[in-house]
Amino acid sequence: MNVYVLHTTCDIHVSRSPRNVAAMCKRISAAELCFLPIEGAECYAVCISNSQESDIVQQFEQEQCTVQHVWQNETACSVLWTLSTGLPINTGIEKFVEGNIEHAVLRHVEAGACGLILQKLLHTGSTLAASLLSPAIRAKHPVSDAELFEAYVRMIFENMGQCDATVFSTEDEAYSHYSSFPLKSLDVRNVVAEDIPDSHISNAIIHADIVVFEGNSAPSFTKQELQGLLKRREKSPLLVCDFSPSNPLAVLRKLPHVYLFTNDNRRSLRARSLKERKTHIGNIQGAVSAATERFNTWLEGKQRTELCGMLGAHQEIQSIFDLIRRVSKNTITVLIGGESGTGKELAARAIHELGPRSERPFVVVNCGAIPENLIESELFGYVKGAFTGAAKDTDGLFRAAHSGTIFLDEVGELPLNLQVKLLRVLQEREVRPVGDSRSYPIDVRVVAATNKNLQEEVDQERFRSDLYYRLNVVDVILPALRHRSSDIPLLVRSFLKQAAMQFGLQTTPSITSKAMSILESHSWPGNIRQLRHTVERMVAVSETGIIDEHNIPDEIASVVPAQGGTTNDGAIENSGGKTLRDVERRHILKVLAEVDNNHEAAAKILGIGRTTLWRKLKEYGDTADT
Amino acid sequence: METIFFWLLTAGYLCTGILYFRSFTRQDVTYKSGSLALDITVALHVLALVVFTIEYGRIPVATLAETLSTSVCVTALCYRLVEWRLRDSSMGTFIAPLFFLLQALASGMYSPVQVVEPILEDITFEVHVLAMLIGYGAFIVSGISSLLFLLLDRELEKGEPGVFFQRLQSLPYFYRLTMGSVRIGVFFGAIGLGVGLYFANELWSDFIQDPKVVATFVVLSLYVLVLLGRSQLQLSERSVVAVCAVATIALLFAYTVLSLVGPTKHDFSSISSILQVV
Repeated sequence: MNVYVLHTTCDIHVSRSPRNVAAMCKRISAAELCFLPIEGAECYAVCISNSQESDIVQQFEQEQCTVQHVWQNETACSVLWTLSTGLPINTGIEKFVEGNIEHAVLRHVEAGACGLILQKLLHTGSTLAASLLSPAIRAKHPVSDAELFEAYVRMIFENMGQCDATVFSTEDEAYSHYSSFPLKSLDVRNVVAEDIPDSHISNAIIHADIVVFEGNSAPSFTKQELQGLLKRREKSPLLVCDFSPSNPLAVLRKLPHVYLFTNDNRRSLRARSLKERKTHIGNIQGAVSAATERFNTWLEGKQRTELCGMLGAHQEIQSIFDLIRRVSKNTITVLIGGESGTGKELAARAIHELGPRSERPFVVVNCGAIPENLIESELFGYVKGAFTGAAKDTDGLFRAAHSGTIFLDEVGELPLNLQVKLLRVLQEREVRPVGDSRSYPIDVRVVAATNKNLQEEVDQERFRSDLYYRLNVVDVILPALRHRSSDIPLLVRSFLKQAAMQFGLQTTPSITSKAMSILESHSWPGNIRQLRHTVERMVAVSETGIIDEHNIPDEIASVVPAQGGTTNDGAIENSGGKTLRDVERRHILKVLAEVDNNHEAAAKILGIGRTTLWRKLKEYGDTADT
Repeated sequence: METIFFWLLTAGYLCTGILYFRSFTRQDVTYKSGSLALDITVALHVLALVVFTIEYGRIPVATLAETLSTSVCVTALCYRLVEWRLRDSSMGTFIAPLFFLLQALASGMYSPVQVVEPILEDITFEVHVLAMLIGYGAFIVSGISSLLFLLLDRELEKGEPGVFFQRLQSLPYFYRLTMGSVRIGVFFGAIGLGVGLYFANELWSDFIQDPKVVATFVVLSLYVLVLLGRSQLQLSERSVVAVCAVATIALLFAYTVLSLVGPTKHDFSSISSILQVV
């Protein structure tokens, strides 16, 4: 992955709309893209891509963007850090970004154009600035728009909390921007959406301490009109921030008690602040080099693409990694969703291992695999004689997980009567073994997983809503493999290594690009589990140590459902089934028949877990048949 | 010996000014070196005054040079207290050069006086002098503060935030400092003037014609105007501060130029008294 920062001139309809940026990101095949406006159509584009510099420039030119300068990798990092924090590193940056960069990046994240790498870059920039610049220096040498506004207000009024501010803007985001300041009162008016009479603006000038005009919202008063308004004011300072391009309120500059702050003032103050900041940061180059090295290690290394056995560089899975890292720090209940084979147990294990309970037990309970009449005693324990066969006291899985984590897999399979008991345990934090009159306190972190849509199950009254909301404090939805097919090469290479070790091979088999592209184009209904078993099978049948398209199983080589095609699997085509459920049922039964009803082998071929197979057979009512 | 000490103190204030200025230009927000130099210089100055008072049996206010030096010491002490209380040293860059200039003037003019008028040993006179010196010290702090207010206000008004914007505290801070200093100055000035008038009335019948007395009246009136300007006269903060700056300039004028060139009764060395009599 390469990091590029391009100083470019681009259609503002593209650069200022995160949705359009997201579309452009896809068109130019970039992993992440973000536009930071400078002035007019000028902007900085930050792009994460595998392409070479010349290709990137060409792609931008094709998008009608004129590229004036390109920075790559280390220099690009420095440029972005300069832009995001105002750290004066020798990058040749002369023009700074309008508005809050962090805010701009977050808008791009929401639109799906900007992911973890850009967020990481920004975060590194902020951390770097925090470590190098003391709050006193930051306050005295403001760089960002927010800092500049705050500094100006502080110099005139000292305490923002005593100021009444009125903001007139042409953009909807003005409120969110100004509401972050600790003002006494804030009145934000959108001059485009609302029909603001001149009297409202006049009132603001007469009564407010701060009046801000964003965009083209500034009215054009004559000097006499303004003098008339100011006469009606007490002799207290008035700060007028006129950030419109044409500065129609320049006449205010000569009037008493009025301080006018314009874009030009902002620019010159920022330039001066940058110069001043530079004098305070002697060792900035060293700090930036170290940060760049750390960033590169993160970008290239396992640190980014692997999390406790989970693999993936795709933006979606990276977001999941980030979420897992964050939720693991506390003991909050997590509900993991996602199709079968997407790695729900691995995610649960990661949450446990990264958290403070990593040294404590991690107990896995497959709620779908335990017979209904045994679940209660398995989960909560029992006392001797509680039922036939209860020969001795047993603690149960909840108490076994005490001070650790309990992972309730296939929680959607729990019978309703047990859902009530589970809810009580989660709320009361104590369990009562079967046949016991006492309750035992437990300290357990609960992580649950399901491949069902629990909300639907709640709607159909198959799952208790109160338990659903108790479990769904944080939900982690793992993406299906077909939604992150760019991760397939990474996963395949990892599975090849593991298979080689498993089979005792001295060298890891390689795979041809054609074979890889076939694997990449498959839809993988069984997700990562299916991919893993396929790779193991390919390694097992390969004779040369090089895996090519001939080693790929026919059912995968010939099926390209991702492109909406049909299948040549006769069993399915001739199944005569009307619904997908019928087709699935027939296919499962056919595979089971082929492997002499060996569930493990059938699950492996189908690319699903044994539990899932068992559950599906139970759903179809075919358990007895098989 | 005293002359050498006077010049030593002058060098101390010069160093203080340079160190404050270095901190100011390098944006060393702690101003540690400047404050430390001021502490050392003021400590030496106080020590010198104490030794002088013990040795000669009077406070050093017999001549303009002595009074200047004593007032520098008192003002520096006042300023250091303000600096410590407000935890802001940026004003040191502007006030330390004034200490240096006044002390240099005192050192240049200093000549030992062997015999002084006996009134200098009167306790009432000493109260008058000390009260006036503290009042003048407070007025000088208010003057520097008002000057900084006006400089900062000019930058903000012109929309060209520069060095003052980046180095100084806010406008309300300097306004508060100015008004606080003026209040202290007027309080001590009024005490000093009252005691002085009582004292002078007993000594001289024509004391009211002394230009220094007249100037002090004018200056104190200006400061009273500063105090009443906002509440009674509805003046803006900027106007009030501007009056304060003018009053401080008038004070310095009355204190130095008038004392140097004009006839005054505020010289208590025996020779000059004799000359005046003659």
